[in-house]
Amino acid sequence: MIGPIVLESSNNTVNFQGGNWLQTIDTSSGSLGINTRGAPFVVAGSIISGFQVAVLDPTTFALADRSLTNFTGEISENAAGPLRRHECGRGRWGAGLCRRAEFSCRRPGAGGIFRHSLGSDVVCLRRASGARQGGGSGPVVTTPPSGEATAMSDKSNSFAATGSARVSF
Amino acid sequence: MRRQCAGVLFFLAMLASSPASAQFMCTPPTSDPLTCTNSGNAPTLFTNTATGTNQNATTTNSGTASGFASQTTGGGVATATNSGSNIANGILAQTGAGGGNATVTNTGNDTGIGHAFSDVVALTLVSGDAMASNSGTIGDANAGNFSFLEARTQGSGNATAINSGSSTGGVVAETLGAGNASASNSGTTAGNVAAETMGAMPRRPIQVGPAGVAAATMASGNATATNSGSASGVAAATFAGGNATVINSGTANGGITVAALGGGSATLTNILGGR
Repeated sequence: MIGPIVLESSNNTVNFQGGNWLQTIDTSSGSLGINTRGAPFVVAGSIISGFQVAVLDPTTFALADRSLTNFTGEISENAAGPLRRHECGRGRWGAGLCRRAEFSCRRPGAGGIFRHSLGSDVVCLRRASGARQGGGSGPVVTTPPSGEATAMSDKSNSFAATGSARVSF
Repeated sequence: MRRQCAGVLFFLAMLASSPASAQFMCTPPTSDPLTCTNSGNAPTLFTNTATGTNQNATTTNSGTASGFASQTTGGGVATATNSGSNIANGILAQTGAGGGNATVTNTGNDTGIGHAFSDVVALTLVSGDAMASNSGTIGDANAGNFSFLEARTQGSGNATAINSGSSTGGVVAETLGAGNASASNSGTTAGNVAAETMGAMPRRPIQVGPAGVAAATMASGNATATNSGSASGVAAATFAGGNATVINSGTANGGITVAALGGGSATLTNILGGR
């Protein structure tokens, strides 16, 4: 919701029917009735600056609403994941981090995707030619012709790594 | 000479059955309802007028029209429906001195030419309810045309405007006399509409809107604006009594105004999902 919220009468009421809200409401008369149907809320402010109302809805209805929003956001972010792909040595992945990624990918039992200490995800990809690096049973970091390992930044495409184990640095 | 007279008589006969355009074909003038339809190309503005007592007027376009109207003066119902393409001058359903309800419906495309608006309007001048609904397209924002959907009563009667399609200029319901005004949007509005102050004097000047959805009563009656779609703003106002209510479960990107300046109450209801 963008723009002012103005209520002007001798009897102003705002109803909140589910959901979490933070609204600033301007009322010239200064009286404002609030009905949240039992949800906890806080009112702050004044006639001049406007009443600020915060409503916290603990029910699953609000959760469902936000979950839907988050789900949509996750889809969007995941779809954009490949666009944020970084290659070691070229993006923000420094040489040290790449070495750690390669080391982790070589560890026995390491999955194809894991989260490093900065909160980003690393994807270990197999070399297209099928050649393996480091041996062992663990996955490997792809080594492009330039010799650089490939990793994916945070918000990586988890769909592509479905089934992979996730380990932490 | 005889052939010329026959030609003139034929032309006059055509005028009687089709008052303004050869493309809108009408039933006999005394029929009830007096029905005119166009499924072809009507290049000029067309008006279907029923003057008989309680005689109804129905005008329908499923082709291409350049504006058309239904009106009654003897108390009948005026109905205008577009399921085709109306490219200019708007669509109007209007009742006059005899009263009667007015209903306008657009399920097709209604676009103006450039900035020349082509509004879709239901209007009662004396009494009767006004109902305007759109599930099609009104206006063309890309061309700078912000035509709107409006229901308006100037005497008595309720005004209801419902948009489930796209109305670039907004959705407005307004009563100048007694009667409730209700405007609802579950589609999209991109433009601005503002309730006017006529007759009743507000306590102090207030601009109701700009809002994509606006309901206003100037004399008495309640005003309710409901948005569950996407609107540039939502407003409800009563200027001389009556309650003003806004119900929002959609997206309002132009603010919300709820004003009851004549002693009623102002209520805003936020429903889960509102943004």
